[in-house]
Amino acid sequence: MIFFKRTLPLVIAFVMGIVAISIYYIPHQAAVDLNDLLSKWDRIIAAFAAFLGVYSLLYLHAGRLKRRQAGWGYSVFVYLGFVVMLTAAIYNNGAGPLVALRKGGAYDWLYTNVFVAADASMFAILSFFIASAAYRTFRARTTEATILLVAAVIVMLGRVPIGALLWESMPELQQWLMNVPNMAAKRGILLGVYLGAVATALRIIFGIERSYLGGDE
Amino acid sequence: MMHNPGSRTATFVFAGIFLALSIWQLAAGHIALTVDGLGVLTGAGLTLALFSFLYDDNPLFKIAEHLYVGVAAAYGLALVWFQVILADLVNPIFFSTATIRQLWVLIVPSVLGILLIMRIVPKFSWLSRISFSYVVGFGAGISIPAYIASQLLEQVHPTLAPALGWDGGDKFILIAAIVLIAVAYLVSRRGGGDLGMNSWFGPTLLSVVFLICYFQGVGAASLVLVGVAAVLFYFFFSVEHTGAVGAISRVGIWFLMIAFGASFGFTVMARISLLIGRMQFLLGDWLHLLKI
Repeated sequence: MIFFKRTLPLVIAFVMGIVAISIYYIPHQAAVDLNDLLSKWDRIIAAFAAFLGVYSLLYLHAGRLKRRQAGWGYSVFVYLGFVVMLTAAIYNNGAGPLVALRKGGAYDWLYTNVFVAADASMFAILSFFIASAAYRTFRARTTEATILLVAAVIVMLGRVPIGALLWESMPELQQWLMNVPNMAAKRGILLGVYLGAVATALRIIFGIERSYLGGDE
Repeated sequence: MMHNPGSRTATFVFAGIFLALSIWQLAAGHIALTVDGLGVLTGAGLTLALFSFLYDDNPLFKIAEHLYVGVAAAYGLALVWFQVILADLVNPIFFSTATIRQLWVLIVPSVLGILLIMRIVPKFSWLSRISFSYVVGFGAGISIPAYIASQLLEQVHPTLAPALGWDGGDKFILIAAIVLIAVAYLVSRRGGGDLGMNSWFGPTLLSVVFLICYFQGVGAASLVLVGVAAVLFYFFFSVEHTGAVGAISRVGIWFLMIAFGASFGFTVMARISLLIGRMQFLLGDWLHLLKI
């Protein structure tokens, strides 16, 4: 049993990893076709993972409802939103779930008036919290904090009309700031990040990194 | 929740504002009780409920937040169904004229997908490891050559361009940056080994260099080379950051601070544009006070 529980997954990860690396370097139509097929499989399996994620969310809120945990009443609204939106998707403007998604109808209405409205509002209120955090932390106490503050102010002013009103070259300066020193620093960071990502990928392929198998490995 | 006076105030004030203004709009005939009109009222109600959190945490916000989570989960699930499961699996198997030989390739991902779902059955949850190992192994394998090609080599090539004489612009900025590093080194030496974190001289000089670079409009690639090298020095912890290494890593910190500041400003402006969008909706579509 240990073979199926531990060895087989490690073998599959190793084989798939080596195959995926190999097909990248084989300049043949067969390799391209295999890459397309394996990518399609990957996409389908990942789609099943979405069902797992939704199950996990609903299971969590079902537990809250069952135990009458503090704030359990709000979990009813998770179910309400989920059921109404899913029903609209299944109804699919009268066409049913077995044909491509149709425009208009309850699904589009919920998407525009609930999902988009709530999504934009949720992220819009973050601007207040960012501004509040900035006020508390952006005190030009050190040289580094001053540089950070000046860069942030230039970028913010350069992206609104008042910036160009104060100094006509402000938008150009903020673009230069984004394209040159910002890109230099980002590139320095990303070189390290992707070297780390390649190292982690190799650890997964060779079975050194096994955390994806679960907690007991 | 409602024991908190601020929470109670936020709930009643925002609910009151929404009801009063909605009734006024309905009575004035600006909003009709149609599907579109109800959509505007729903959007306005949700927006106000979420904005009420700015005053205090309250039940209105919690309700809107949980409703959003439920709708978002169903929306994601619907997208996955229509764009992947239906298009790549259900339609080819049940609604196409493909032969069994053409369809066998869909059996593997279907089985692996079902094994993945077994995660929710404790007794058979180990079966999901097989599917995870496919996704993780394939993902790791495909990412290695992709990262090396696009994120490492393709980034190193333009970075090294000026050092190999491909900048095509004035080398002045490179000389200025080297002078800056030398000055930073002297400043750090003057501080007796201390990196001189609060020294004004170095950053001022750096900003002068930036301005010269900006007005010259050339040699930007050289500055990128200096920046990348300095940032990499900062993240190189195998040697002690003193002396020349300390001075160079110091320049790296300045570049990082500029990047963090620029990213912060960029994020703030993205959020502000969302806020402007919501305000336009509230003042325009809902209250009809804006004429756009």
